[in-house]
Amino acid sequence: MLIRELIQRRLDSSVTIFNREGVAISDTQIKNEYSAIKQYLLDFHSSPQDCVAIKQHKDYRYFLTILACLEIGIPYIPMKYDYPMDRVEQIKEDSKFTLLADDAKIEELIAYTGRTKTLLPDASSEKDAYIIFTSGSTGRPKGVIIQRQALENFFTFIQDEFPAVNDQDKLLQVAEFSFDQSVVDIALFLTKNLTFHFSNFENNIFKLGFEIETHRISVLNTVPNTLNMFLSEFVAERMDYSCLKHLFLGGARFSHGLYIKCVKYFNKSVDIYNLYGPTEATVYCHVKKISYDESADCFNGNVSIGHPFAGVTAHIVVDDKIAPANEKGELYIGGVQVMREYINNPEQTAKALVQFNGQTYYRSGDLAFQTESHDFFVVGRVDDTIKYRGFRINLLDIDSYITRLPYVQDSVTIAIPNEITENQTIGFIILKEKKTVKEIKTDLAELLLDYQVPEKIIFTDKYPTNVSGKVCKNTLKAQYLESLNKA
Amino acid sequence: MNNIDILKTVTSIIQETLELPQLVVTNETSANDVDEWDSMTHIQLIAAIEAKFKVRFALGELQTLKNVGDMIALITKKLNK
Repeated sequence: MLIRELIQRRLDSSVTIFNREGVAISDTQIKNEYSAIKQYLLDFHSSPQDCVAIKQHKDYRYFLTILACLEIGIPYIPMKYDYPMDRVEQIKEDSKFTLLADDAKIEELIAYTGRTKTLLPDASSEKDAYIIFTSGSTGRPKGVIIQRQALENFFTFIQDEFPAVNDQDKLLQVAEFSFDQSVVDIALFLTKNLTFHFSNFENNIFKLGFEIETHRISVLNTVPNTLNMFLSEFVAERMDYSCLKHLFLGGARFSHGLYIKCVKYFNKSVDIYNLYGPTEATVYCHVKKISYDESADCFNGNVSIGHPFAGVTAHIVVDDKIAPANEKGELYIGGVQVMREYINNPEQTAKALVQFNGQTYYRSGDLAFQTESHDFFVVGRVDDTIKYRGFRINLLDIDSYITRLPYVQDSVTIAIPNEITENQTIGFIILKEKKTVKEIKTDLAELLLDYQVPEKIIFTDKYPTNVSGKVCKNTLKAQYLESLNKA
Repeated sequence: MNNIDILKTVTSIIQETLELPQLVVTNETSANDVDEWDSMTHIQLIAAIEAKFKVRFALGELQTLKNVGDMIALITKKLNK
């Protein structure tokens, strides 16, 4: 499936899109604005090194800019409109992006009337489709380069695996485009001809419920913690879930507690797909269709991530060997969906991409096992990277930012697992001078993304250490949990 | 019950739910101003307000609330029905 042809075919047919205010944008307006954006980017595009950074409020024009980049064959970098300047500068330094399509620039793009070029450049499958930045363990965000062939495989899988989703469906577009979960929405739009409603959700669960009921949404693609709130007793008492037909769930662990809620409230009326995959393997690379039969879906309280996509290979590896069934080890992912590299970061690329059985594999860092029936289960992380509200964050990375504050002497961030956000992050900080939690959080908001700022900050004057003087995080965790029990 | 009394009651519910007994709450206070006020505690807060005032809100009413002042206006509307 070639991306350019797919987009052209989709936009040749009629398109129904509602913007984030809930207003229908006419097919003519969509096509006119798309043509203008595409022509601007085509006329601008002069070098194979060109790359477009998109930093807009999430709405249909952001989406059209992505589609235009994909059709022409210019790699794009999706960013959230409120990324701190520090992060944007780091991304620019690594990617050397040549155009920033922000909220102001997009007005210029949709009003463009020039026409210098008419022929689309080469967009072969080996070229890069997008570069998405995740948090890095070295204190710098890492830019994951995804090639067009990886995205083509992903689109093909979405088209073939979910035949029940069709042009009668209505999708609520919730995920930020800077979060690669949104690529599922793009794939569904392109391959299923469904109606697109841009959500104005912004973490207001009541708004999400209202939008779903009002627009009679049938397809939702979201993270488990949002679904957890959506299925809380308070919301469930007021919500009519009957319009929902297909639920794509991924980006974080699908907990057993959430599974029980799904069984209770959906009662087999919703097709639930548990999707798994790191950004480095093109959004998702495993899927499990939930059968609502606990013995088939779960094992020891873990919900299955099912089997790998076509074109993807997965192994559980222990000591450089494939582990037998039911043994836990690191999940290695190979095949066409694996990233090309981390941009401008050979050191991290060499750590992440390894040769195994004569093939390149991405070391996911996820602790997993495979049952005799070939279902995969992920049970945790093998290193210090954790999932928080669907995002992957590295605790050492966060500490490296906190210690940049001139009044901070040291910082140790720990994570306590919970059902709602996967983990609660707690920063233990030793100060050089007196500051309030509010002051620190305000300063951190300039350096970190909102989900990277520790939920709770606790001041301390020392950390527990082991015999070699290293901070003992497990003791710190235990002390913290004990203090909670006492309180 | 007038708006001042409602604000007093809502203030104590917010202070209790967020475990911030000293928090100063005004009509303009919103979740953006208080770190502890996240999506999950927001649900707990609304549930506690419903129980205290013996009212029931619909999702359509709750999705528009931007600050404590909006909440008080909604409670007043419900109590006067």
